[in-house]
Order: sequence, then C-alpha cells, then structure tokens
Amino acid sequence: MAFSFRAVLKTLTSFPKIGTRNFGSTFPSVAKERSLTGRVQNGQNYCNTGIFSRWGPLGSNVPQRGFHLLKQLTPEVKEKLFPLQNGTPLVESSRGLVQYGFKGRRKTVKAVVHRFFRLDWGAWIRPRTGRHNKLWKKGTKQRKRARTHVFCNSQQSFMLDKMVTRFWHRKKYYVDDPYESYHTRPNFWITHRR
Amino acid sequence: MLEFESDLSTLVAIIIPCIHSYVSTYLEWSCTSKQIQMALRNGTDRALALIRTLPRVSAFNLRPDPASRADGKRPRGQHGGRRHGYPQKGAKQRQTFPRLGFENGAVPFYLRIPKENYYKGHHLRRQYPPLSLHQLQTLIDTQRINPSEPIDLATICNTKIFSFNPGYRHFGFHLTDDGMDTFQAKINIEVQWVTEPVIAAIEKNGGTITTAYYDVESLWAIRDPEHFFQRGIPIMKRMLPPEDAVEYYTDPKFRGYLADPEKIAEERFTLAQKYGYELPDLSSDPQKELLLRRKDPKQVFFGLQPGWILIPKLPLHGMSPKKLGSI
Repeated sequence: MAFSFRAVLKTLTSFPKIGTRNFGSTFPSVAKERSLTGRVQNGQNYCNTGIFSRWGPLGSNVPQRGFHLLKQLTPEVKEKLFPLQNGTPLVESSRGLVQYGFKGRRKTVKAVVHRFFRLDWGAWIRPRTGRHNKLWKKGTKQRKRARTHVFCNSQQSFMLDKMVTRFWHRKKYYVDDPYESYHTRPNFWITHRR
Repeated sequence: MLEFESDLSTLVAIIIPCIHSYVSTYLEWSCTSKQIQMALRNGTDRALALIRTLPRVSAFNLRPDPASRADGKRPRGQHGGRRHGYPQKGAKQRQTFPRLGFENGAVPFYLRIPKENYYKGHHLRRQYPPLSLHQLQTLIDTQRINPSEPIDLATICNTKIFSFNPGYRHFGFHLTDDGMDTFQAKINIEVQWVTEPVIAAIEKNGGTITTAYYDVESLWAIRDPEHFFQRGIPIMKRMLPPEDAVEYYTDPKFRGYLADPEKIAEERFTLAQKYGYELPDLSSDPQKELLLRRKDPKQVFFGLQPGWILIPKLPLHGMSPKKLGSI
C-alpha cells in the first residue's frame, strides 16, 4: 500500500483545523484554555452533525493548537509554504511519522491461523488431513472419523505458539462461542483453574 | 590470635551499626538483665550473639556465589577467539537457520493440514468479557457498588476490580448466570449482553435490567470517566448499534434499550410465568424512581448530556480567577 491508514490518521489529528470540534459557547473558559484536539474517525468529524450543530463555534478568537505560529508568518512566507491554499496548510501534503511499522516485529504466520485453532488452555486443534481425498474408497466409519477435529501434540502446539503473535494467545470473550466448553480443561492439574 | 580477634572486632564494628537497632531490640527482648548485656561488651560475643539471632542457612536465604556465574564475554585471542566458539562454515557460523517449522524440504506440518478458517471474521466479532451474578453480588456485599443507584459500565469499572479493553474489541460486560440461585440484590443494572435466566434472577428480586450498546469511543470514555473529563473535550453522542446488533438491542426479550417499553412490560410478565415466580409490582415500589431510571439512547453518562464539557472545580493551570471571570 502506498500509504498507511495510521499515517493518514496521525496527519489528520496533527492539524487542528480538522481535529478541532465546535464547542459550546456556554463553557468558553475551558474551550479557550484547552484548544480541543478532537477525535477523528475515518477522517470524518462527528461533532459537526446533529446535536453539536446547535452549539455555535467560538469564532476566530480561539487559539487553536499550532495555528498561532502560522498567524505570525508574513503573507509572502505563507504563500511559499502553502501555495495552493492561501495560508491554510494542505492536509494531504504532510504525512506523519509511522512509528510502528512491521519491520522489527514478529509477524503471525497466516497459514497457521487459517488451519489451526488455539484453545484457551494452550492446546491447538486442527482438522484431519485427507478428509476430502479418496472418499470413494473410505467406508462410513472412516469418513466420519476424517471429519473430526483433533488436538495437536505438545511439540506442535509449542511450535504454533511461537509462529503467532500474542494477539492469538489472548483470551477471546465471544458470546455463543461453539468452542466455549473446550476452552478450559479442569480435569487436568496443570490446566485446572478455580 | 589477638590480631584475629581485633580484626573480627573491627569487622563487627563495621557490621554492627548497620544492624545495631535490630540487635539491640533483640537483646532487650531476649535478655533483659543488665548483667548479660555487660557480658556482651566484647565484639566477638556480640558477633556470635548476632549470628544466633539470624535464621538458619537454607536454600531460601542463599544466593549464588558471584564467581559461579560465567561471564558473558566473547572469547578473544588465544582463548578461543578465532571464531568465538562458532564453526568455520555452515548455518551456525552464518546464523542461517531454517525457518520455524521447516522440515528439510518435506511439506511442513503447518501447511499439510487442510484449511479450516476457524478465525474467519474474528476482527468483526464483538467480545463481551463475563461478569457473573455471584461476582456482582460480592461487589454489592463488599460495598464496592451502591445498589441504591443505577449500575452501569462506569460503576463496574470504578470498582477497579473488573475492567475491559475496547482496544481488544471488548464491548462491555456479559452478565453470566453463575451464582444465579443465591443472587439477592434489588438493582437497576445496565449491561451489554445477558441471557434469559439472568434476567429472571434479577427481576425476581424486584430489580430491572437493560441491555445497551456503546460504541468504541463512548466505551473509552465510560471506562475511565475522570480521564475522559480531563481531556476537556465535549461529551460525545452514543452511536446507535451496528446492523448485526440491532436485532438484539431492539428485542424486548433481552430488555434491549431500543425496545418498546410496553412490550418489555409484557415480556417481564411472560418471563415470570415461565420461571414461576411472582413479579414484584414496579408501580407501587418505593424505589420506583431508581428502578425506572434509564439513559437516553444517545447518552453516555447518567446526568450528563452530549456536548457538555466538564470544568474542574479548581481554576485551570495558568488561569487566574480574574482572567476566568473576564471570559
């Protein structure tokens, strides 16, 4: 990808014109003291819709974060810096530093996540190999057995643990989870928890 | 011998000030008579007395000998310095080890298994960390939650015992049925996910329950309200639930916050019939006002409207009262 969403988001939040909300004139003291850096989600400013539109913007006397520097510049310098937008910074022209790239961090082997499932007590389960192959010569029992899911052994489980990041080790709290009863193993002393 | 004794006494003289208070308190406690204390004027005696007070040497109070640890220095010169313990060629010299799971060219185990996609759509699924009725009852019994006020996410998180992380796609609490039979509190609670028996357990005691959806931004706010207010931004509107959650939160069977209140009243009666308990009458209840108190669907905090900014009672940093007054 030519750009990352995180970088764009960071750029957006760093410019107060986009990030700033319109805040109520009822509480001007707070508004004036703290130039409110708003939340930006998907590049859309939520505050300009609905109930927030009833609150008027405070106007030009509000010192916005970073803007006071721009006001000190002469028009000529402004034109040089921002030739297209008459003193207003171009949003697209500046990209924030991507602090957390993928380089230097371990990545998940996606093939593992596509094939295996980790239970909360640390075991991995998997489908059986060859469950779709040569079904014509397999009997009913063998076909049924081929459809079942089995545990990986200890060595394989430890290897798979190393192949995924801690995101996949984290406990997931889904409601109506079909694997809910398998996530604990209370009848084994090592994995037993109160 | 004399030299040895004097050495020992100087050593003791160094040690004793460090632990003098300990020894003296021990001596006062163990041998109160002055005569015994007089006998311990010698440094050696004092050292021996000290050793008697110390615990026995065991694996618990031993630490490894400093010389026993190998230093992590890379060997140099004639001491194995040529290749620093590594071979001349090969993977060990060049640190080119095969990747994890590689099986010398055979199809590796983690690729041999057919695809199943257990985790399909995991990034879209919402998680609700569990909170059992037993835990809720304990929180009330230990006075961490005040049952005479409505209970919502802020109340539960304010106990500092249960919390959730919206960054992990946790969308609030799932009230589970553990401790259902012993639950006795009469409360007005708002949770994010609930099942039928839990609703019955709460309504049987005369309480009320609502399931409500919070979007991620408002979850961050209500998880730590004080932190949110310190940011000085206006309170946001709570967003409506996403498409796949609308059905649940408009369902009177699950006491959805978007459901018709009249239908909820019907369902309360039906559930009481199903589980065989007498439904307490809300209209004649002395706590009626508490039990029927609800948030607006777009409201995040009780008593606070979207768009409000909360000002701290103390003047803000760098703002004199005069300056504040002029604004």
